Amino acid sequence: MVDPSAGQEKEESVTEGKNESPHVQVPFMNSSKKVDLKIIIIGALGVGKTSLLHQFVHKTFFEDYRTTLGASILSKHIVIDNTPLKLQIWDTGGQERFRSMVSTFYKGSDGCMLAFDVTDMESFESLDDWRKDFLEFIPGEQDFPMVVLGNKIDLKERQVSKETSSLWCKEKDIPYFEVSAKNDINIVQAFETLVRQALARYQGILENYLTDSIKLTPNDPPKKKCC
Amino acid sequence: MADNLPSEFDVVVIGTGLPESIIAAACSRSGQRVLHVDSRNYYGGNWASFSFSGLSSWIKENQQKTDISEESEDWRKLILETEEAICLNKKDKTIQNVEDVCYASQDLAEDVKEAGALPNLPDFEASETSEAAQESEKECLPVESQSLGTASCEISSERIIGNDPGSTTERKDAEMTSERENLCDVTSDQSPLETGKTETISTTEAAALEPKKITYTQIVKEGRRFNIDLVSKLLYSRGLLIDLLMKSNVSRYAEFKNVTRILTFQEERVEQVPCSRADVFNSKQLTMVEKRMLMKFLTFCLDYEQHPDAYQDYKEYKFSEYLKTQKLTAKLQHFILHSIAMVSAADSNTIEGLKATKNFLQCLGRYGNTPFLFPLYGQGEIPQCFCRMCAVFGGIYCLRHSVQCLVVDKESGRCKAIIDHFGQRINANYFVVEDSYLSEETCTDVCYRQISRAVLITDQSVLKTDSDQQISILIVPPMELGQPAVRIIELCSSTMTCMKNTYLVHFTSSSTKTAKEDLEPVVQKLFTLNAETERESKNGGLEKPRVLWAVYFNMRDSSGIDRNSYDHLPSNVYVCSGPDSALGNDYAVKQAETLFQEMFPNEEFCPSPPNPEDIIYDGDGTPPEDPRFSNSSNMKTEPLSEESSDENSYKISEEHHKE
Repeated sequence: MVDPSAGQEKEESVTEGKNESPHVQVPFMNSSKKVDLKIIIIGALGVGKTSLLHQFVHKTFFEDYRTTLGASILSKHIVIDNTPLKLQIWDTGGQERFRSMVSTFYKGSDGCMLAFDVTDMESFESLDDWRKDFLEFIPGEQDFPMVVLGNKIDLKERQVSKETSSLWCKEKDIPYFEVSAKNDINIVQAFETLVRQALARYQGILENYLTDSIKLTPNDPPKKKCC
Repeated sequence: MADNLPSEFDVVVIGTGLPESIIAAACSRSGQRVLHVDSRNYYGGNWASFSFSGLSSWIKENQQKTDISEESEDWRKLILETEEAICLNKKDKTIQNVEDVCYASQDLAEDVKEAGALPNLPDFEASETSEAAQESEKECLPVESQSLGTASCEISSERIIGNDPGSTTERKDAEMTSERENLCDVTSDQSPLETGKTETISTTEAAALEPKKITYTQIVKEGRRFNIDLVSKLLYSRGLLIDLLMKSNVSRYAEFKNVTRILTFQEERVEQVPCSRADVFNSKQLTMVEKRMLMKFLTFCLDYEQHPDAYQDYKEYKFSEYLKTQKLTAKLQHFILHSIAMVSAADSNTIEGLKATKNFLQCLGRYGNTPFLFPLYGQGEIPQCFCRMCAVFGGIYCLRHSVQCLVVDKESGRCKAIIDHFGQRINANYFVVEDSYLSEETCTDVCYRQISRAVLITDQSVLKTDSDQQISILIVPPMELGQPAVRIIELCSSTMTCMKNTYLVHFTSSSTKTAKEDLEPVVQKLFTLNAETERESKNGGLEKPRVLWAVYFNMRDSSGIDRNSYDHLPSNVYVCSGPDSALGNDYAVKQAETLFQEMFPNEEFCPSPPNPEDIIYDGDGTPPEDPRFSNSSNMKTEPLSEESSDENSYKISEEHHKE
């Protein structure tokens, strides 16, 4: 976790000289670091994934159908069990249309939301494929943090009954939520359940201490040269 | 699925490698309707990265000589009298001489399975379980199987230009040979445990007996922890790719790790190269005099242009010759030439060497102690990040989608459409095609170079230190005059490219022969190949790390080819090359920008997305329509609203402090 030789270098470079950049190493894990969780939302085209995200993050809902354009990662700060978290929620970008998700989308995710439309049986039936596709990218875990959302319960023309979907979820041991992005029903609960699972798993993984990584920001100012 | 694919686009991009993915993103960002396809079921083409089972499938696919099936020519009916067709390739031919060798021991357990593998795997990975089962069947006998492929699928219009012209004829014969070696060792310590047990034996029990020895079974089981790149590159902390990632905001889709060490191989030993001021001061390998010499020279290099007197007289010299005239010991000259400038001793002149040295030095300290970053999960992530950007701005993505031909209007000579393998005709104004999709006829006059590649899974670092989580680059200078140097990148498990307690080691060099012939000598210098013997020692008594598994292959280098070499290409068809052999990604980025500007000279290349706070919402809460997004479908489009305003006020910088 802590690399003693690197730490030493860091100190010495500070005393070196004017042209030295004071901080050359990637910082190490400490307890006050805010936890970043990557959450992905997957499911068939048109089930309401973007709407669910927007309802959760922005508390807004747009009636007419729009393909996801421009929206790609939404963030939200929340506190769960006294732990401040930053959620990075990745929308699909529309690549689910022809089952052409980039694996970048799946990698490094801490929790997965599976969404379907209760008025569209096909979207429910495809859940199995979506789940399988997702698990292909997760090293060896079958009980990865996951929840299922049955969306659009505000509409009357329901095709998938609550019993049917609940049964499927029970078999897979995945929590199920009946939600409405339009009327903001049950969405917060669904997210919080998923985030709790994700947080528990995250805290149990040693690798997270090792994969302290660099996230590039556009505002990175040019540094003084270090020779 | 193809029945709801629109038939009208502005740009069609074929291939999802890095340059073409950047172009797709740039086009989509500037409001073009983009269709981006790939014939495979994965992204990246020759820039892709694979899990262990994925790579095993890829190896099989490239070792097989498949017959070119006679496909129905129904699609020809879709071509009008006034048009002609340019056929595209039916099978990729850019990978040759694939040889995989397993050195790790294999258990007798019957069911070697990838952990978490679901029963019905997609076609792509279907071979994994059967292959694994085959492995365990063979293991009672030491098996070496070689299959010599005959030249059924490749006509040698490819001429390989290596450093040694005499080897060309040899190369042609070697081209068609695919060898598969399979060394299976049954270790005596494991058999008592395995015999008599059913297939439900857990491989972890076997591993518990010998915690340090990693078996092939374990590698397969942990297969998804591997992300093995076909291309081995690094990002310069000041370079075109990093600049582009940040400018376009695609950087949000990826994370990076510092390369922590620069290594060199000198006098049969692996040593760390001091490059920063701190390294030089702390180095135990340099004498005080050497430290001063090196600092002085590097300081000069940082702004060498200001001191032309110091090198004017040597402009015609090779950089290696110039270094001899400077006050530098042989050891320092070696460091500078091979590990800092990283230029060819045989070819590069003084100015090139100085420029490269300066570039290296300027990159130091921006993010870490070396000039380089490596993407978490591997290089294969990068093209995908640009594809995601393209999708986010409206690009449509279809994997598993082959294109039969380009349709050219006879009169204007311009390409009007493609016909895909479903028989659908798709019209567009511009076409971007990656080199490997072009047919042999189109490429008859093209001279390709080759890149020799090897990927090893090993159990220890080439240079063991206190920390086992190091990411290192090691340049091995040519062993003979006229040979290319071999570049090695060693990745630890925290790069998320290999399982714990292993390293992934990538070798790259320009080809003179088959990859195995080019690279195995270097592998043998640095590693122990036989899993069963005691570890060999290098000079100085240090143990060599062990190779558990290796694959070698030659990859076509289609970079640097003059567009006119391609036969009869319409003016609105642009060709992207596959990976080049350089360490950085500059070539791909430059190519993408150049081609984009040729297509759309008035558009900005990947401008920064607008700040969501600048978007003004109407009174009723609906966002304004963005005129740039005009889809052929009648769906309303949502304007750019990248992230919540939360994200903008929150600087993602606590993971990395700036000055």
